[in-house]
Amino acid sequence: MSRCLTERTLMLLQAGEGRAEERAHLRACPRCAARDRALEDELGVIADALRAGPAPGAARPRLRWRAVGALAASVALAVGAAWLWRAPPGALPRGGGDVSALVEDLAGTLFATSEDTAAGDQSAVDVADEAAASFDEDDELALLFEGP
Amino acid sequence: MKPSASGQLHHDALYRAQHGRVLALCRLLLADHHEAEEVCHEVFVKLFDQRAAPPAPERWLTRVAVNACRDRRRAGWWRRWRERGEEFVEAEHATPGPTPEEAALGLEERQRIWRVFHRLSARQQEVFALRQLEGWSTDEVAETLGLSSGSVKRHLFRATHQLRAALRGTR
Repeated sequence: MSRCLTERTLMLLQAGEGRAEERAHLRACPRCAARDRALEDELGVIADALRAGPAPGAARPRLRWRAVGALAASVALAVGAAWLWRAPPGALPRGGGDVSALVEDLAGTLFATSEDTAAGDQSAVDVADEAAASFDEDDELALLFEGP
Repeated sequence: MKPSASGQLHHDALYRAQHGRVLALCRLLLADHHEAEEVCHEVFVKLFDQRAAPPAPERWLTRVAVNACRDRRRAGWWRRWRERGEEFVEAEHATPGPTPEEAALGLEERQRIWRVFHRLSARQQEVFALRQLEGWSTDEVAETLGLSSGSVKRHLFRATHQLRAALRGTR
């Protein structure tokens, strides 16, 4: 047997198993003998470490993932609770009427017509003038960039 | 069913001689000192329930301890409980102050070995503990764990490979 032994074979030989030719190779090959001694030393260190009991701070890194998981679960719960808290549109409480009135006022102001002006709604006129002015400026800018 | 007076003496002697070893094995497999103490206690209660000491008491205790640890790990609540209390347990019950082993090993090396050991599968942990720490033969491990000897070798190789890699990472 001329090929050097695999790690698995070395481990089996350490465990008192393996074939006769593998043992013969181990005796004849200095490289495999050195690997075998290294394995024996390392197994001794591992066994001592495990017999000595858990070291402080030897908690698994899974703990960090648990913290992240707990945070994600909390956020999901908060979002879920907020979603459940919202009442359906048809069942708004009394305060919902104020919101509806506000939306109607805003729409009336933004889309004011000449009839509204005639009725003396000065705020609607101001908003409409500002919108028209900004529209004119935009058009002029567009013409400058596009050319004649 | 109470053991006789001579049996009681025998059990007491066994308890004194084996308690530390069985507790260390349970702590290794469960990674939790409180749980290990409970399981170790259960194991010795089972021993005291025997009319006479078993023929090979050390092996008997090891076998019962490994099975009890496995039962405990399989319980769903145990896993949740252990993961919740893990940080506390390992920090609180680690050996206080440097021991001779700690001085020889180095803290970082020991931490890494323990971490990797507890990332192994339960079977790999059991096989490694029985084969390398308890010194059982492959056939004895296979019989106790209900595995083929090929499976024992495979588990042992994988466990050894990962633990050696962990050890090399600190050197």
